[in-house]
Amino acid sequence: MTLKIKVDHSKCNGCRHCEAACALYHSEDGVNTHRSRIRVIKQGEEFFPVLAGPYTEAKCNVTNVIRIGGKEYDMCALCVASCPVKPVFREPDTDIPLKCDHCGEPVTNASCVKWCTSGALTLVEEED
Amino acid sequence: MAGWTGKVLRVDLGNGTFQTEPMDPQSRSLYIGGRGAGVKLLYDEIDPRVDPLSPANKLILSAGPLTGTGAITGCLFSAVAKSPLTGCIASSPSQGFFGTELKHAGYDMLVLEGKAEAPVYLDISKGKVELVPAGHLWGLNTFQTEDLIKARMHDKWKALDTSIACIGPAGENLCRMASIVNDRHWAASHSGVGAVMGSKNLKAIVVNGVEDIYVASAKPFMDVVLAYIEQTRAAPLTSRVLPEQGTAFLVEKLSELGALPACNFQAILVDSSSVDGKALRRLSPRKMGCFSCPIGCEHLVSEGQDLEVMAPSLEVIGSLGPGCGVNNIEAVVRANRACLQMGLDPVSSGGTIACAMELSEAGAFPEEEVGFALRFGDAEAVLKLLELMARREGFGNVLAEGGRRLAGKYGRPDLFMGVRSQEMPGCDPRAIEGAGLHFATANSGPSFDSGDTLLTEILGINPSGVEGKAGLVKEAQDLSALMESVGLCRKMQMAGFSIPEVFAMMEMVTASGMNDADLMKAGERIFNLERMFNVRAGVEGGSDMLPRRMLDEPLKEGIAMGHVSRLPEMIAEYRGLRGWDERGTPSERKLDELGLTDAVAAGEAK
Repeated sequence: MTLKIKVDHSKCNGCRHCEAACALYHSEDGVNTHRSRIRVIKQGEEFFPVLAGPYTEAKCNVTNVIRIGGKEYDMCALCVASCPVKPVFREPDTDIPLKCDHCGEPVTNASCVKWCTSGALTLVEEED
Repeated sequence: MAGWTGKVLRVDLGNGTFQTEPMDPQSRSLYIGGRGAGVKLLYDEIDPRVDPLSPANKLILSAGPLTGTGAITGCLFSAVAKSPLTGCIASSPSQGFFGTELKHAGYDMLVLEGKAEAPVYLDISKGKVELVPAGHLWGLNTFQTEDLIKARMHDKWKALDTSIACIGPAGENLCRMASIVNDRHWAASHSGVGAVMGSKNLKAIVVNGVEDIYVASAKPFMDVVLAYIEQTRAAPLTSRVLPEQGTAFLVEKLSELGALPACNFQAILVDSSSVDGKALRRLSPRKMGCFSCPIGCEHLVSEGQDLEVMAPSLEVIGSLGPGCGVNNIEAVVRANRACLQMGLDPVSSGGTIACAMELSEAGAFPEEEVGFALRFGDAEAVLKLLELMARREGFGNVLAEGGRRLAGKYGRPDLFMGVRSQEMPGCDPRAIEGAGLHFATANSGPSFDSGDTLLTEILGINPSGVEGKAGLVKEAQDLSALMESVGLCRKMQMAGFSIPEVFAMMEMVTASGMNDADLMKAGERIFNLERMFNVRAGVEGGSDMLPRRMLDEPLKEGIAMGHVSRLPEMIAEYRGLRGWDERGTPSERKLDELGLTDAVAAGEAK
């Protein structure tokens, strides 16, 4: 059994405290949510916390907007990867890709989960 | 420098020039930032007697050193100007994300001067400063304005991060109660700051940036913030009540105390079940939070339309609901949506309409003035009047001047329920004495923002008593001046946080070496400098007065039945504690003690 971060977007209230926690943790001296490895992406009036996955050299070749229940979602924006066409999850000054590392081991360290009061980010057990 | 960016952007709209200036170090230590630094700059740079809607007035948007740092509730910025509603200082706080994004764009403060020849918007989203023609935006409501600006941004990723503050038709048309709406759902509401923005032909301010906000001791700061988050989770008010109902939960409390005014303060609403926090919950609101707030007291509701908007707060419900005789939460949601879209302050607008309703029922003006019979409880009329008011059409042109001028025009100044020309929020001073004293003395007009005694009075001490209220109000006002200057939301107090927590976060973020006494002193200093602005603007302390109805007409029902406001008893004690004379002017000794003597003398020499 291992712990993993579970994201329940329906509980997210968009306060972006997770972004601040991540940015602070990974910096020595400041906070910059644009360097954060978790971003809360707003789609219409809904909030989607997205944790940074690996950088990919590939660019998607499919339509990225899907309709669910009458609403449109930009799946590219909700994707965990940064890629040649997506500047999210990269250092703004150097362009170096960023990836979630759970704030080190064990995963219970994850700053974003600790700071989330809405219940959107929790730790769950998952079988290996 | 940590906490502060240390930079001020000054924009002269008249000739389209701008410059970046360092923030005055003395201003940082004595006035901190946000509201305080904004007030100091305005005090130093304008003649307090200027016409507030002339190019000589300045509009300052100012974030605090804790804004955007991740400090709990650290999202605040304040809009500071001379108010076209009150003629006094206006310092109107707002939450959301604009303050944080302003700091990422590299500035603590924006100073907007002069007047553009034609409508423009200010764009600070591309690593540079630009004034862009805004003819295509003029006339649009605030939602349309934000949508159109974002739709025309070439970079969709940037658009996702961008924060916009704008005015609606009300600001363009110089309605004296116009607000500045930011991030769609929040607003610097009070005192007509939106009209000042409109008078400058400035439609919107677009901010985005990737600059770091430095934090002096990041790791210990994270530990402290986490401890406060745990405390927020443990307190029932901040873990359950506020996230479920928002500040609307206080509507029921006020009605229980016989303090929820109805029909322009003629009566009180005893049964609030159709407009309170529980009624709001029946509309299945979705939770929404301001930047870095562990409480998350805001909500989105959609009522009748697909369009989701911010749910009404305590103040909004009181003014657009029972205040106008509208005891229906759905109607309040619709009226609040209209206010947000038009860029109107719901409290002043609701108060003005309530005043018009009473004038109409009292026969102070013929029906033809409005075009239809205006009666309390007519929710459709409220909606229609808000629209007319924002566009200054027909009777709306009279309403756009605010309740005091309206009541004066029809020869019934006694029917205006406000202080310093600003409408009181829905809390009856006859039932909650401390709130009354605060409303009477607040420098920028009555509002819960500038001194929140409600929680203490409702949960702690005898609401309708006067003992200890002078001290309570002074402390709440000074604390609020401090919180709005460091950049924290007053609702953080609902988790039990106060000066020690402000101090701890300030120290870890800024390492400025200010102790808690320094911070409280700064709050008092800011409050007194605002008072001196009003004194120099020609506003005498005699305006520290509640409407006659509060003093002469006892409440007719509820548990505070028979009570009137005992303001005259409290105010003498209050002035004593403040070190003010009987006219409400700070004494030489008080100014000296606060280190304000030079600042005041410099102002007078101009």
